[in-house]
Amino acid sequence: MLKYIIKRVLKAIPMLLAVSIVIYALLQAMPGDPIDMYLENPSATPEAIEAIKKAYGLDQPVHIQYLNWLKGIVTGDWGRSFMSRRPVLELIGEKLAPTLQLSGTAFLIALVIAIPLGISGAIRKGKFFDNATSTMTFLGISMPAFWFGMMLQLLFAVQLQWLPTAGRTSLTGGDVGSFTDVLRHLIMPSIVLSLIYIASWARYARSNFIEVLNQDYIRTARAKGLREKTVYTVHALRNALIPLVTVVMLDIPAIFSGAVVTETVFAWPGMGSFFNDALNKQDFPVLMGILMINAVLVIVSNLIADILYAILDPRIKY
Amino acid sequence: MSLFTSRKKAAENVAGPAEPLVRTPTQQAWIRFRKNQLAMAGAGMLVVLVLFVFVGCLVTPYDPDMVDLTLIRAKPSAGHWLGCDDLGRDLLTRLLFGGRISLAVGLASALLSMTLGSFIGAIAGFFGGWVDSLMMQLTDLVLTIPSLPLLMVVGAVFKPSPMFLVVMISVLNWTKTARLVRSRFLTLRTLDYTKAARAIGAKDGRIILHHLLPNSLGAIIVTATLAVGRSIIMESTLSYLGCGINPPTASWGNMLQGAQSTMTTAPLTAIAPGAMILLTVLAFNFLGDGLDDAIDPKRSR
Amino acid sequence: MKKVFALFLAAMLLACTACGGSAGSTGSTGTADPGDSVASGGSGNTSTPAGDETPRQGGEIVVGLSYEPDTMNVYSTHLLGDVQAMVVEGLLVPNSEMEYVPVLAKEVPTVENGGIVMDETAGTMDVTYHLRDDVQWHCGEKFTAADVVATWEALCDPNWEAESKDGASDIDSIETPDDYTVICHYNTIIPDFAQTLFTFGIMPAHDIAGKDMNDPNNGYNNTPCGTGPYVFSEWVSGEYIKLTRNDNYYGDNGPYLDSVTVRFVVDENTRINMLKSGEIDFTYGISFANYDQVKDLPGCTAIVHGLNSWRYFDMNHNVPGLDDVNVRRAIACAIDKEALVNQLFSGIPQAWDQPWMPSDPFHVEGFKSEWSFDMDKANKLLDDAGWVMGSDGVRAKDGVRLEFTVICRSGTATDGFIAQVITSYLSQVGIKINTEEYASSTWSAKMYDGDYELGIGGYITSPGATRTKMYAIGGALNRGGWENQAFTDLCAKIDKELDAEARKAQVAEALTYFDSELPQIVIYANNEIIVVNEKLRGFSPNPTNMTNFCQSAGWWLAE
Repeated sequence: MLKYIIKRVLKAIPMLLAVSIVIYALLQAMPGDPIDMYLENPSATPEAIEAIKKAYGLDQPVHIQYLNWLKGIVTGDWGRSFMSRRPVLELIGEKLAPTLQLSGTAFLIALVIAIPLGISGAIRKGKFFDNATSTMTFLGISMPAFWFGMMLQLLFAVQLQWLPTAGRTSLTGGDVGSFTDVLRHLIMPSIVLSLIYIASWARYARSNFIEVLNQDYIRTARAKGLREKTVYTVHALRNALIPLVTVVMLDIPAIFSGAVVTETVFAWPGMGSFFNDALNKQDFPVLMGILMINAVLVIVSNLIADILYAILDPRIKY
Repeated sequence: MSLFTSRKKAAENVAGPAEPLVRTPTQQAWIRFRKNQLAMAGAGMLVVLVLFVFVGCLVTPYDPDMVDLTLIRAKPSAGHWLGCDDLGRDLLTRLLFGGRISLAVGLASALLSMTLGSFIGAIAGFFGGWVDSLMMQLTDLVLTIPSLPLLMVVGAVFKPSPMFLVVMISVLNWTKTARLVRSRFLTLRTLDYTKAARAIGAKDGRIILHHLLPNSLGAIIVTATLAVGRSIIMESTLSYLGCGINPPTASWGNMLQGAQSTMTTAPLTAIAPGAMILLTVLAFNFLGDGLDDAIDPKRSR
Repeated sequence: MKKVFALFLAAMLLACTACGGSAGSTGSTGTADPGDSVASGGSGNTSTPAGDETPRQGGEIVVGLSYEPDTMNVYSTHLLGDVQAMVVEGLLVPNSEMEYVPVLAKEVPTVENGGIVMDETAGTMDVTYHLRDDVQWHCGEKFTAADVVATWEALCDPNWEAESKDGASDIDSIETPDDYTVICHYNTIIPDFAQTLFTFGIMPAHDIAGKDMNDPNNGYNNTPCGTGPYVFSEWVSGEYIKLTRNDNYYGDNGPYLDSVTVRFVVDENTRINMLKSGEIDFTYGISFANYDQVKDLPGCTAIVHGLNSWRYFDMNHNVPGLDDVNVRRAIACAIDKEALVNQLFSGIPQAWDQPWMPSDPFHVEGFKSEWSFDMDKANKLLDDAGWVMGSDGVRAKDGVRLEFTVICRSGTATDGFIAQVITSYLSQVGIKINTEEYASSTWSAKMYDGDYELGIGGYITSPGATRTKMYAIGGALNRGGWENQAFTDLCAKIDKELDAEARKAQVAEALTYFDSELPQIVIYANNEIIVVNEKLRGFSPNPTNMTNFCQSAGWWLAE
């Protein structure tokens, strides 16, 4: 297993390199670049633009720019934002904690709700409870995040005034930035963010569980006269969870970067809204930084998924 | 038994009552499917939706793109059953025409991504070894490449058309199916019946098509039905980014996206496309669920 | 003419809401015009405190801003300086009537008061500012002429990649006979000298000395020491900037508020919800479509006011078909601007025919385009020019079909709506329009490269009559290839003319060329929707790119 992991990690390096080339090429292929925005400013002289291009290294051929960027990545200098000119790593560092807060909470909520929901649906397959929860989860899938977020805001912040509309902390009052303050701001965005994952994971959980319940070994277990509860928890659960691991692990990077809409709607100062902002401004160094982190995340979560897979299902060998 | 259609009963009668009742797996699946209330409801809803949209387009008296500044956000009336939108266009008509696009985009991209994903996942999971690692590297690469810049670049180069959207959404969506099918195959290929099939000399293609794929179909169908709804919603995000269905052409996605500012002042502009998306997603998922159960013979209890 | 371009950025920011999607847009859009106080009913006006009210000390307000600033340095920023305007002050500032009023200077230099001395033969001029002597920097030092010189010198440094350096190279040298007198020797005659340099803000000599101005964390760029009514206190990345009252402010009117916190909320619908729940007291850039939502919010007042900004329909002269002036005129005749503005946008913006806005003192009074809405005229123009209606309802001549693609930014409902309405109008005269929406950056790039046929967009500019960059030959923003020597010559004159009356006459003459050849159709003069807490007093909207925050000392909250 250890050998396998080492092999995978070593393999990840050329992979990341390939990804970085593809992303870099894609960004370069985007029509327009940040300098176009300066050109729009009538007060920018040609000399000033040349100076800025030079300062950003944009006067050099693309492959040289890429190599410079790569050298920077390796040595820990991820470049500076074209907009604020602050170091990319510093900027990402500031956004990391809020994003982890939000996506972590959403992830937990989704996991805690989805699996029991899916399993109890599977056990009561075709009954009212199953049909009701199925309908609910489908509802969750069909609501766009911006729409659902807006509805929550209107209900809980505007009408009932129970929760703050947006932001991460309050601006006034005694407990600005305290745990409960942040928690109150966290409730709505994390529900919105978790919704789509609750829906999809619950479906997978239900489907897998039904499948496992029909396997011969479950029949055998039942035939032996084991109690239903034992059958479910000891025999079925483990096997039902295996395919789910893939789905859940693959969604981790998506939760991380997929918070774009939710973070924007709730003015949450994380990576999602930051990415959105950078994309619209074509802030290449920032985009490259976030995307590379995302790439690493995908590779790591895939690896973890495979390892968990092997641990959970002894039949699988690498 | 009571669920048998009269046609089938007639067929049995011709065959003679003495003959033992033998049903093909397809017939058995059909019976199981018919027993599933939600699945039948889903199928019914889909038929109604499709009829509503496609027949509706033919009978509506209005042009979906005709702007009428005197009817901006008009309330529902005898002439305009659902009222009019921000530009005085008949909301019902746009809903019908938008539905044609959305249904087509949702279905086509779900099918395409399912096919692509299954194919790649199947090859990877079945053959394992270097094929697996190559395919999975490809999957990881696609998963890792950010979709937004990709879509913006391609959207700037090509003129966004529904077909283009189908391809783009599929290209972004197949990875999940591929991972899933692969993981199923990794398990299935170690099972006894696969070994048995191999022992009697079955070719790889046959094993995949006749043994492994049917046994993974449940998972694939669930993914695909979820993907239909996701594709329709994705289309709305893309419309917003400028690489979706271009206005004035309507789609449920861009109608919903465009209705954000009128959500409180003219709620129908948001509710109508939202409800259509909801119904479609519900119908597809009920249907997919039913199929999932029906296909697996071991499910019948 | 400072940042016309701010508009692009503002629009971009709006577009950022993309996925999140506030369809709303705008940003740049809004506007209106204080003079006409606009037909939009229901909007009260908090502009000034009622005469008998005495300003109250204390209170806090929260501003909902649609973007996060990139830097606090007014010369480096790529965006509008909303927050900066409360902290950093310039020598002059344009007020709500777009007239310059003194801030750190004692008076606005003019020819009459001897502040401007011209040398017609040499083509140079001297501008003399007399500075206030009672101003103190937030960090305690006295404000003097040395600070003005230091600001100019910093801008002259080629190593500083500041964006808004225009004007700096027009000055050869600065003389400071005493601590409170500044004589700028201009190497040219430049009537619009107040548009950028020194108006944007003065930097403290002692605080920027020896600092790397390109370093965003150099202590000035991120935590500026200014002279404004509010002192920079804290910037929490991605969340808010907090400002507190400057107790040593020199003016005798304010500041009154204990603090002003600017919270960054990109999504417009979220900002509206925050207004409703009372979490923010002030926001601007509400899109027209949302006006119905905000006009009667309890506890809030909606203000509609004019901006020095307009929405245009740009026609690329290099495209076959559009190179025919009759086609351009017919397009103008086929568009009912009044109906568009009144019915589509609730009458908030103002239908307008010239690129000088109603709020601009240089606009031509009572001007009406020769190509106002008249369908019959449009059809006749095309018939006469030989464009024959085809069987498919599209006119053609010599193999050229009148079918064009209009590009606009996605995410801005405003532009998309205009495109649809114009499409519908033009279809009635045999011109077919297809719409393509692009992300902001792509749209900008396409427009800038001239890679378009028709485009819908907008400009916001600082006060001043110049339109050289937009429409003169070789102008950086003249992307449609309109080349009119007479107009260009007039632009050159306008840029050098100090006499307001003479300038007005030149503008009127230039406008005749503009309206005759129609490089661009001005659709409407923009009005901005601002929503403020109804208790906020002393606020007056600002139509210029110096933003609504540039005269914030007098703001106060009633009980």
